[in-house]
Amino acid sequence: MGLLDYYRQFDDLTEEEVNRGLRERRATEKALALEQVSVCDLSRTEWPDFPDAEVMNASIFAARRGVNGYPDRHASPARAMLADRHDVEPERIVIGNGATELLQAASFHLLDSGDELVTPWPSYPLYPLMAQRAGGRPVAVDLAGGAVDPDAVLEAVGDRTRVVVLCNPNDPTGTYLESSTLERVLSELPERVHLLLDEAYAQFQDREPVDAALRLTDRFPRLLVLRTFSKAYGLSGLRAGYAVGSAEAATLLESIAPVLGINALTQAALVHALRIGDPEIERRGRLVREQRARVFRAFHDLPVDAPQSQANFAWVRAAGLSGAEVAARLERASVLVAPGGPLGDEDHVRVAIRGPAATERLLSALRDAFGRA
Amino acid sequence: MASNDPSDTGGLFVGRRPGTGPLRYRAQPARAGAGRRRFDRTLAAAILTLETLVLLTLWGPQPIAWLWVGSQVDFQTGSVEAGIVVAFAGMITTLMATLGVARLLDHYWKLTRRAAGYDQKGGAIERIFIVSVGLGLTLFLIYFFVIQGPGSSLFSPQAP
Repeated sequence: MGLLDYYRQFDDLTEEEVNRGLRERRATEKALALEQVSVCDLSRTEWPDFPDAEVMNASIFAARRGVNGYPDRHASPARAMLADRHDVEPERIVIGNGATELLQAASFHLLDSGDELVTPWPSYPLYPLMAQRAGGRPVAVDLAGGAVDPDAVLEAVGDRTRVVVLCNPNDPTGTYLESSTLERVLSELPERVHLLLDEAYAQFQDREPVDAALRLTDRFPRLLVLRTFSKAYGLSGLRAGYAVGSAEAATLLESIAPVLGINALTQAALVHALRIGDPEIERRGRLVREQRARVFRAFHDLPVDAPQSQANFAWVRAAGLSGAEVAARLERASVLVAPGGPLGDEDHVRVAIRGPAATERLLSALRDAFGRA
Repeated sequence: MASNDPSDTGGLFVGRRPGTGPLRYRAQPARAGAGRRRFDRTLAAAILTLETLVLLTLWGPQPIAWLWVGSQVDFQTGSVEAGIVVAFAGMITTLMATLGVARLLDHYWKLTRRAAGYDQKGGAIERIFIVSVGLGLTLFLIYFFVIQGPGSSLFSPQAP
């Protein structure tokens, strides 16, 4: 190495050379990305996009203001906004760490050892576990044609039944019970039985006003309606949900509330989401309803069937194939769906419904899976 | 302030400050031993001294030299305008040439500093230039106001 060569090796790259290298690397990455088919995960039902940046900023802002003190135990600002929205007194609402936690707390409160919790099946898999954890016994009621059969539910109610849990729209089938049907069920339930109505996917239904079933709490003291911020709001990681009951259900509501409330970061996010989120939630609901109609229209031309869904998913069955086989065929096209086995029926898969691009991928994968052009 | 102001990071998100990025070489340099690094340190100091001297010539020797050349042109041609044009054109030309030489020296100073083991990111030409401007301007003002200007008559024994 010559004398000058020795010093030249300490010459750094110019900005233009660095940028050229970065541009070349990015071009290579893009080319590779275009060659790959990204995985389209339709196995989960929470909203797939990141939460609104402003909502998360509100949470971060709260974190910076200090979390050394305890949060507001009742989450009063968020509770007041929810009360205003649902036209009920704030005392009729409790906010918890997700609707499931509130359901579990209600089970602990309502069930004694050996008491029964009646729930349609397939439904949200945690309902039977809730009963078992509370020392009770789950009683499964078969669906009729994929839909919840209210008469069968009422027939299953026995002397030891203390709780009926309905998911409406039902996860994983997506079927919906209208409020008039629920009113009949409530009227016929014995005095000792509470109805816990899980409306996790209520924003996606278009059969009736979103608060139609919630209004029943004005007249039925043993009805508790649960909503979540995990699905349409896409805030699963913050763990937030709430229960609405009648004024007479104050004791039950107080007993299922988290002892020291929900954390301050979640409270801040909820307040901001409730303040600015309505147009986006409406947009998401509209998007799902449009795509759901498109998916179900396409099902007519495919060898699959599904009960009419009012949620952001479809409960799909293909004749002659198990759910696991359907899921495996779709996975070959990099579309992931939830096999029905863990959800209660081996013959089905649960397919989330999202935006137009996801619908395109799903329908294309289904056509490929069943050899349709 | 809005309750979700994203610009108020509260110190939670601290990025790299400008100008503190690592040096990017074409290839990892093969560094010499301690003796060679000591030599490079001395060489770097010598280059920096030379660079400083070169830049200092901008504020004294070069203008004086070109003013002398301009006066000679004026004397030989009898044209003041020609003298002024030659003096200023010469000054501009050698100013540019001097800056070019100084930049080259600055570049070699950076390389020798890196060879001597320092994480030398930038050169010194801007700092030397600014210091030499300050120094040259101060000396000129002393010359202009004290030695040749009103100061000389104020402090002179003949002053009224």
